[in-house]
Amino acid sequence: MGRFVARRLAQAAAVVLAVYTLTFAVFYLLPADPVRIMIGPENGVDEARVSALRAEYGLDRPAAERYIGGLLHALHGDFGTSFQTGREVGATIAEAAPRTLALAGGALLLALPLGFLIAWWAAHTRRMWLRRSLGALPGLSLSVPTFWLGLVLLQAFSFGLPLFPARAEDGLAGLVLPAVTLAVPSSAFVAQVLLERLTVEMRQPYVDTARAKGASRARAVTAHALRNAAMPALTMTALLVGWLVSGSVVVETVFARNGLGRLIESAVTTRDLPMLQALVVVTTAVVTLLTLAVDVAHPLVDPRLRERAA
Amino acid sequence: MTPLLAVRGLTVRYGPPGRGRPAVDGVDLTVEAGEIVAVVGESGSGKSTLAHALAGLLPDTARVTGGVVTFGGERVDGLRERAWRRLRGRRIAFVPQDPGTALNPLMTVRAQLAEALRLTGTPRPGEDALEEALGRVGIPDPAALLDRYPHQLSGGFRQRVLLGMALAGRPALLIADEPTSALDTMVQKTVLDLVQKVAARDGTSVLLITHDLGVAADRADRVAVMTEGRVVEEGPADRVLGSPRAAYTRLLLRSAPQPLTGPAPAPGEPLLVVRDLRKVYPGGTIAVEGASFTLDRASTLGLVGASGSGKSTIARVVTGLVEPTSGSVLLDGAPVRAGRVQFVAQNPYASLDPLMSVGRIVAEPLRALRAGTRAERRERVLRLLEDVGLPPEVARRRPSALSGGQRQRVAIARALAPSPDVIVLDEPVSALDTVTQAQILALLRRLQDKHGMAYLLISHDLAVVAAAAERLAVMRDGRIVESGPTADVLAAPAAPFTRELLAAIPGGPRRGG
Repeated sequence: MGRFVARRLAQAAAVVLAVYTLTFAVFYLLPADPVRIMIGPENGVDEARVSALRAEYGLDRPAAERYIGGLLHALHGDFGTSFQTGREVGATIAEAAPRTLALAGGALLLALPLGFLIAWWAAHTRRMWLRRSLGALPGLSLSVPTFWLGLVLLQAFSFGLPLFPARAEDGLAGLVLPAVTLAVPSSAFVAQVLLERLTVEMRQPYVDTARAKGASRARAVTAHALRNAAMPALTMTALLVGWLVSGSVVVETVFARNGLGRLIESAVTTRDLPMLQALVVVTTAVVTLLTLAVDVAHPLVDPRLRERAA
Repeated sequence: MTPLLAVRGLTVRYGPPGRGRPAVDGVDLTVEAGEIVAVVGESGSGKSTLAHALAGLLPDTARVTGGVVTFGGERVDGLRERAWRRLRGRRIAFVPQDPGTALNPLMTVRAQLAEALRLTGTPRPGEDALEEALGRVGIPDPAALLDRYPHQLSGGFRQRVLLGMALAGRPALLIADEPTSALDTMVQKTVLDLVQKVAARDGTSVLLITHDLGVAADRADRVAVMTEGRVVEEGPADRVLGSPRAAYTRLLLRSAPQPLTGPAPAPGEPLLVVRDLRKVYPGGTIAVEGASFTLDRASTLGLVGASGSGKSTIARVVTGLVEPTSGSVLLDGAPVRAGRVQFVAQNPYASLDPLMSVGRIVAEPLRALRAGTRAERRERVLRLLEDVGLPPEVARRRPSALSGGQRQRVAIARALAPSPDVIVLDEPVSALDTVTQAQILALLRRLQDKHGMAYLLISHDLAVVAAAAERLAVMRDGRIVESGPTADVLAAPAAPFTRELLAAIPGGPRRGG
């Protein structure tokens, strides 16, 4: 088990390093000049200012030195200073992260039970029309654009029925509508993966065995099929967190919340390369660690993997 | 006295009403208290659907559309789920087909057995109740088994655990759906002995679903023969097997493998010589220990043994799929060249790429060996399909459109493609029905007469090997314990293990009689 975890950790570290390297290469090694990109074509080019900026951000030093130096600093949480605000990138992200974390966490808290409930119910019912309708739900809610859903919810429950504030930086009330907006497609991902697996598991002979012992259909689904079907859904959940970060770009804009999503949006529009690189690397690290956690959890659930991992 | 189970005109359909033939079509069946009744039929005969219907376990796509079923004098057709739950486990028990998948892989034996006891009236089963339930099905050390997971048990022990769970509620009727068809002959015998013993002890009636007439003959008081959803013949086991009335029963009896008769084969010209073969897998498992044998040109050598005896490892080494740890495999005195030894795998459902057309599958060894032009290969594929008795239009189809027997024919055509000297047949008929099995064995003989290749035939079923191989070698725990001409070995088995194998063949005295 220890060796298994160590190997997975090494793999995770390699993934994050690869993403850091890739973003470094794309942002700083391609022929385009980061300083010119930052200034943008709309501003006249003042060569003296370009070289001054280049020196200020250390871009005049050799690429290898910048790569290694950047990596060492990044390991200590120092991602340099923003091209745009001149503030420390790490501090800016740390400031914005809690709000997005609350949003993503809230969305997950709603999405997981909802997704499990939809899949469980569809697997449990013997009414064909109900099973088909429940099975169609995920596809339907995935095809609804997030920004549209957000606007509809705002219109209905904020402007129409003033239940929730239209913009609220903090507090639970302000979190509800944006979290619901993200939870709808998230639950669809979970329900889809889980239901597909559950449908397969419900046809397995061990489910017949359980029912032959006298177990109810509900018990056969809950105690037997669900555990066997849960693993792909858990893996999906880890990947979902990455999706939630990109989803927050839209939702934070619609609900005017400051968070990582807004930060990403502004870093892209203002071509703030250090900020962008840090956001990409941090998001990758979080998703990779979550995937790792799920991987490590697999043997805890499945005894067959326990032996292989040992 | 009313029978325990009485089935009159039971009809079960899959899919939308009014379309297609029913899977179970007006079946009549009676099981008296304490009686063992066997339902014999091929796959697709409706016997498994019948078993599920009688346990109230039909899949959601199937419905009972006609007939009356009474159990213990009460009607049970059309019962609601809630009422079925009171019957299942307590009055009617069910053991599904494949012990490999019939236990929940994530739960210990303890958890699954305790669930069975809880659901049948023992609210808090203690250690002694659990151990007693396992002891009843002949598990020697129940305490040691309780905390194991299904994958840590052999097939025979899994089937015993399933039986133990099924019998936990002391049911009046045990429905066993092909309980031993996934097990090898020896384990099959122990499990069926156990079913018979427990049934006799507790007075439990058994409805035994099987494709093997021999099993039915050995174990059942009465036999019902099923084909295409109907019971074509029903009666006492001795009468049905001794003087069958239905044409289909006679076909089934004819298809049971008959041992080869005639004089012992003259020593032939050695083709494949295996010397002192040893294979140790990483982790130290010794699969094969010092196996030596010779396969003569244009002959068949049968390699028989229980699962785990090392026979499949030998198949893989001879085919070149696995490197031996030591020892030699020589073909015509030289190391085996690519394509000279071909392989037909056990499961024709898994050994054909589902995305390839049959034509491409058969041509694959030719492409791999860069033999001939495209046009020549196409021509050869059609000739090969003709050889194995398949029409040319099959070349364009996918494996999923074919039956098990047809798929195995495709696998044989593929093995035949590079005109090999040797074909290794690894349990080539164990996934097939009796009738199909007889057809495939006849085809293999015909092909050998025509093309003159040698077969290394591997099987756990001594009856199959005896019906197809002139010589045989018996394996146990990685070693060859006996070998010689088939007729001699069968007539006077030297090794005790061979005698056990012989005794385990179902329908023993009837076969070949």
